[in-house]
Amino acid sequence: MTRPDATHAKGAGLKPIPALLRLALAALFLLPLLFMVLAAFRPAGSPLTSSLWTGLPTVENFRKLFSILPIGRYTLNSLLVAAVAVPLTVLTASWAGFAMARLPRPTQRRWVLLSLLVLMIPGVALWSSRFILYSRLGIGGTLWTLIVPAFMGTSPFFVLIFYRAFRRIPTAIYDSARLEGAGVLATWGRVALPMARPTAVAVAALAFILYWGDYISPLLYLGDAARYTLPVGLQLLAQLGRSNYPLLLAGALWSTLLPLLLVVGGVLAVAAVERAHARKFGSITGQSERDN
Amino acid sequence: MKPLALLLLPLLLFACRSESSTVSFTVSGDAAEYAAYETLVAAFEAAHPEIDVTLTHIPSAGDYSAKLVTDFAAGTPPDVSLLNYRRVPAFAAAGQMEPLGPYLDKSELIAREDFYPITIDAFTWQGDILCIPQNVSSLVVYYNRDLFAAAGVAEPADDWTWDDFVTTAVTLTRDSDGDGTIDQYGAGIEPSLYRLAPFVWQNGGRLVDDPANPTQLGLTRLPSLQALEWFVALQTVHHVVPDRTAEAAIDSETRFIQGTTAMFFDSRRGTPTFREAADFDWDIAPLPRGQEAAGILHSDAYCLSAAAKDKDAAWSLIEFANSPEGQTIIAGTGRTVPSLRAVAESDAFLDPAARPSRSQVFLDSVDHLQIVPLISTWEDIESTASEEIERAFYGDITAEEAAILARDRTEEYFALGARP
Amino acid sequence: MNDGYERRLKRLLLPYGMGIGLLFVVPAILSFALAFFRYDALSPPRFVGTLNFPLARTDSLFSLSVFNSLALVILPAPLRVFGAFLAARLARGGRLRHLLRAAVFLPAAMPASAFALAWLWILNPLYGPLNRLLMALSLSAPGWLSDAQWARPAIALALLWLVGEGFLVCLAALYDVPRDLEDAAAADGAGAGAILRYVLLPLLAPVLLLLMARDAVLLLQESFTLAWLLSGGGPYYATYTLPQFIYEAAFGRLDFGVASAALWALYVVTGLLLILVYLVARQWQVGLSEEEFLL
Repeated sequence: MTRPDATHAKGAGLKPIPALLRLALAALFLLPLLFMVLAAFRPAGSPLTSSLWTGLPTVENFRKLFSILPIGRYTLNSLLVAAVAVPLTVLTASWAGFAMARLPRPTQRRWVLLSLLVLMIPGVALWSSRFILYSRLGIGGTLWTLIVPAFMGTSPFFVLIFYRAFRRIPTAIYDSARLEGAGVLATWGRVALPMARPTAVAVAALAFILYWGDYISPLLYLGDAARYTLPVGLQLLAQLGRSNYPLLLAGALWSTLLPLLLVVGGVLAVAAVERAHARKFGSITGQSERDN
Repeated sequence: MKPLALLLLPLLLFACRSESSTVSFTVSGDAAEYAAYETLVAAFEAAHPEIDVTLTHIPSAGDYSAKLVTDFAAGTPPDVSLLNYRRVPAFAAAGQMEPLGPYLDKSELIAREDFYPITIDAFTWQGDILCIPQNVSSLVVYYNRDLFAAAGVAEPADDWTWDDFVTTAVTLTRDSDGDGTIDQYGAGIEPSLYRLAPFVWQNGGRLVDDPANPTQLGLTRLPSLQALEWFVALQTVHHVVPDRTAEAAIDSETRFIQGTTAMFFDSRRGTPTFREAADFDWDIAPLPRGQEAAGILHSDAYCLSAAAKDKDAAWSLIEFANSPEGQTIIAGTGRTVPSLRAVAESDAFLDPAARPSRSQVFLDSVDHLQIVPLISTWEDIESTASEEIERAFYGDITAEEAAILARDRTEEYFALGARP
Repeated sequence: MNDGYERRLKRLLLPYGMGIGLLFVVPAILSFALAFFRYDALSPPRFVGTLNFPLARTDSLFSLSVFNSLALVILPAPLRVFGAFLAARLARGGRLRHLLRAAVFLPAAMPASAFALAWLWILNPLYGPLNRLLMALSLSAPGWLSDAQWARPAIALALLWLVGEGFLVCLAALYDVPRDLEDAAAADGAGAGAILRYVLLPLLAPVLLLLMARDAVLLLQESFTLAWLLSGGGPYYATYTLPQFIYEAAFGRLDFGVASAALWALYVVTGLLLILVYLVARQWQVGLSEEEFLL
């Protein structure tokens, strides 16, 4: 447990420079989104030479977006992939993380090291052989090719995050669960996972972002156009006209909406948890924030 | 016995239902093209309820090529694919194409004589007709009639020349507000070997040393090099086309659509786009002539993969797509110049109500069309040479340096390539 | 802990373990081995010994792609990790920290293709916001993606916005640093810079090193994705990276042998990184210690 941040927060009022720095840095990181919004709501025909903001925002570009491409279909496909892959990821990654945290120390070390090593395998090394593998498995070209990694927790990164959270739960709690006769699954489901709920939410959010935005996998493994996901749809849009920025950025903004909501929601949730903790204990524990 | 029969009944029903066969069909192109193929497939399935077509659409041509290669690699190629004649030799050399000549000979719907002969030649490999050509498109000049009228410039004649073109383009290139930046370009053309080729032929030059048995690029030889120099000068000397920065900021096709480029070189591919997006009066003209008239074939064809399971069903689709009915559907989008004479000369193509009004230009130029050499490595040759042509076009190197670099860098591909 | 319990625990590890085997180890070995074969995926592979290696090495595009990849890893990786660390330090507490956290993480949360489209506009040489700003400041406005000299810096610049993962890890690591240490240092009169330099950096060095190694691996692919979407490897191969060489050799020229031989270069780079990770892990007992596992 770390010491409170409250003193720090109090001090911030007296020290405006860090706050200003935060504001400036935040603004810098928000620039891509800002320009996306500015361009997406421009009137479709307005020349690029005119000023960045033309005054009259329109949703014309979005209407055009849906009329020239089956963006609705692509969005549904992306949602479908995420709807299957995200819960699956949380399930298998938390299983693995839980098992790793509860296994004897030497086994634990081996798995952590293995996970770290796998994290270091560059994705490009696996493209062609995974492609061959998927077609041998008979799922080549289907949305399953995008979902398959979820069966193993998607990424060792997620497993390690869970491992870390489960390691922090005092052993006494596990032991008492065992004494009450809870099996492995029951301990995982009724004791460990509820205590690591913020971690699970964080992993779910990260997994969603990963599956929602994946560009390479659909490019390599998808066949039928009816199965295209949103990132491929955006690429298709760029093929139609690389210089039609208002339309392109309307598409980009559309595909960014859900991640945007997720990030804002996640940060608001952390803020709420921090406030609740501060009221309750007069302090902020590190746990809740770290997991976000 | 009775229970057994009851058990068998659903099985029998299932067996009957599974008699319908499936054909996979892959195309590339923009959304408008995709819509046209959906219409085509729907019409086919209505006529052949027993065949189920799964249509796959790949956004970009580059991805399409890679996708086909990987699909063949994984042993799951599409049964029917639409391929440009420059790409077919690569697949043919690997034995991945089912020759369609025998099917065509047996067909009651279409015959070899119905097609423009050059399209058949373009898809003939080692004496076999490999694919059935869908169109006989070629490179033309799209022009903005409003800009011509505003500048008081005469519209391109059917026999206009290189000099006419440059003069027109210079007149139409304008810096209207006098700030030193060009606001309106006379022309737009992609700096590639594919675009350059017809000008080389018009100047009496050759793309390769020996078209029958190519062993190296021929751009270094004089008539070819002169054509390349003229082509490059459009940017480096006359500045009638956007420079690299301007092209990167807004590409020429978009400039044409926005009405800030007067002439744009494209094949029939541009027609559906301009019909939909351009809100000015436009038309097409033939390529300006050099020493002689020459054009370049841009033909695509339906090909049947050798690994297709149900070849007869796949052939039915190809046959239907190339029947007058099928070609009429696709021609309705404005995307193709039908390869069937009958359809090309009908209102399905020469629709007087639709732009361009000079569609006849495509048919008139069929006689001077030439094809690029058929060699399995052509795609690599073309993309490598185009890189050097592009550098010369934007003034990084001279035309001669580009010709030499293009020749040397493609030598290996000529050595590796299989020929018909 | 009895055996039954442990066996049931290991059952929970099964999907993960099998997945690692099937989706990582087997494909890696497969592509590793293919380097010794002539394989076009159509006809059966033919053993050719080490022929593919000189074939890949003598391809001038190969060395160029390795150079570009290294350039797009070596320069941005430390900047990204250090930037993520500083951002995390700033976002740990204080007013507006939530805004900063959301802002820093957002670009990484965008789909890569959406992010690329935003940068395509930002970097537009004539009308993009960046060059408008430069011109307003009377600075010279480069052609960015259309200029061979500026295309790599342009992509490296965009990569600096994609630090979400490193930011989270740094934020988590910073929370594990006991505040007493900082408070004590502050009480001794150390400024923010000194605390950073003498307290936080030494404490977090192993995490930052691991992060750097991980970032190098990530960058190999991220820089390719971005270059592919923004400039297609151009202009004139200025942003042509090793993954693109491999992609084009395998999927473009059907030359899986040469592609796999080129992959070996990737393995060498990765292998060096792995050794580094292992040494760091041993040295600091990260992930192996009884105490804390930081990554």
